[in-house]
Amino acid sequence: MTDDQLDDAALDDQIRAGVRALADEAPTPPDLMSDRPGPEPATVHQLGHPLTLVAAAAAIVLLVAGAAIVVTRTDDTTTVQANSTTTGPATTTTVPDRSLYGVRWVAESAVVEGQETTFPSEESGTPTIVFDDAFDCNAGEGGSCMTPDGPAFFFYDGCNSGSGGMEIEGNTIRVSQMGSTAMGCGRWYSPFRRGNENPEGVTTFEIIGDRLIMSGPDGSAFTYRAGDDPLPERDGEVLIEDRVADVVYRITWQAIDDDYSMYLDRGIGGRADASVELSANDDVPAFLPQKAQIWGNALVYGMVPSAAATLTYVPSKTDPVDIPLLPLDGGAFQAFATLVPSGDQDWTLTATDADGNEIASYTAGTSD
Amino acid sequence: MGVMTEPEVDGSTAAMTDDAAIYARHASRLIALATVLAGPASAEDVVSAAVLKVLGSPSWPTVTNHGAYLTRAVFNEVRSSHRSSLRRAARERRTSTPTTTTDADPVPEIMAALAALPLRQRAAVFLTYWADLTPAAVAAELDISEGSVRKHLARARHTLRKELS
Repeated sequence: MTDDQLDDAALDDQIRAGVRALADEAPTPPDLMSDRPGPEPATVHQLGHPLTLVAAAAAIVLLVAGAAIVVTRTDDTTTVQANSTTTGPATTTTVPDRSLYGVRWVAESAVVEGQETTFPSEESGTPTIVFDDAFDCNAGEGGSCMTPDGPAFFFYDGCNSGSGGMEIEGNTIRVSQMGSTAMGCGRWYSPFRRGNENPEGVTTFEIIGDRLIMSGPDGSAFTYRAGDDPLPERDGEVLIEDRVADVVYRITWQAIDDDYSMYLDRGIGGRADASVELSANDDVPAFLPQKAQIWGNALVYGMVPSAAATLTYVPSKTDPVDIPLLPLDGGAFQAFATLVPSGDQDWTLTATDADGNEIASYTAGTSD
Repeated sequence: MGVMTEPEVDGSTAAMTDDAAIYARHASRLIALATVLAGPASAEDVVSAAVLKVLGSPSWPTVTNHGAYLTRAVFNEVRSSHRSSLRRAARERRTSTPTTTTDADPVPEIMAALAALPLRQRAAVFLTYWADLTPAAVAAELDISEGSVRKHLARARHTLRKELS
């Protein structure tokens, strides 16, 4: 059967038949009602977080400038109520508890060095954090190979990006082998930070519905909400969307068999108008991106470019930027590329080998 | 089909009666969705965990679109499950032989290819081709944009077409 032979209708028929066949394997729905206990009185849920007030109704008020988010919790489900003090009536949504892992957490507020900062909407510079329950660098599933296998985190703190391994005991995260970029931005909003502020590398966390609350021994506290975008699937497509300088970027990652591809679609106002593809195939055997992700205004991706010595980002209206490749064990490299695009700016990403020969070049630009 | 308790009529159990009716209305779709997403061996556990979490919540009575909420709960439950379990289920599915027949027999490749799709693509395909929902309705069920639904469907169809070629 070929593409030409398989028209849309035939494909639809096959998909429908296949889905029905899969669904037909479904067992009998479980009987969840006959043994279900009756209603119980609300119980106190102890959170142990400095920002929370816990009562029988378990109401947690996260104060934001001019507004409040009320998180009401019992057992595993949470009601998040946003009350604006200046506009309109309250809105209420109910959300099941999210998992720590596999969620792109986007910062809402942070208390650092006694000063509270809020991030009312996601934009460039908004911190994010992602947790992986079983990171496996060698599996080619993404992430920095500086990060040890096992539970890991990947963060952008509003300035620097980093990652590290971790151990979790109860609601405590203990960090190991953390690495990060070291740009001197004079600000940071991450529960994970090297330095005297958190010498033990210990952070506590609590998940309440779609909110993640983290705090450190230095008094820092961070509230994240679950991002809207789906997180990458390890053995399939990755889709990450972020907004940089009012430009919406979407990155999809496909790991199909041994052919790895990254697609970066750029759009304005949600409309994709350009794309760039990084592929590992016979044409570019030395350029193997392993993961792509946007943290704030940084496009970050790992690769195994055994012959690549230089990676250059060339915006059309500013000077070229050489992106440092960080050597890793086994001859591989990790790259952190910072994009500073605008809506009408083209750019090129070029990888060259040690002799200056171009290995691969990728361009994005406005097409209309 | 699942065994449901008889409807209760006294006021003290009215909420439970409502829950039973809601669950009865959506159980078949939830178990089918869980089967497509997590495999038949895990489907019951997934549905049980998801539904009991939802029904145990005091905020459940404020939910208006029960079907969509339960769909998301099942989807989140599958996502929260350990990835290795899901991948094992996918491998098992790829090596298993379907024991049931449908109106049109699918080619064997489509079964394995469907089972190997990323989770959200699989959910979009299920809701589109099994539940016959429009992209807008699928978007509401999964709480994502209609554009994302169309993208997931397009990528899934691209993958499946390639598998069948």
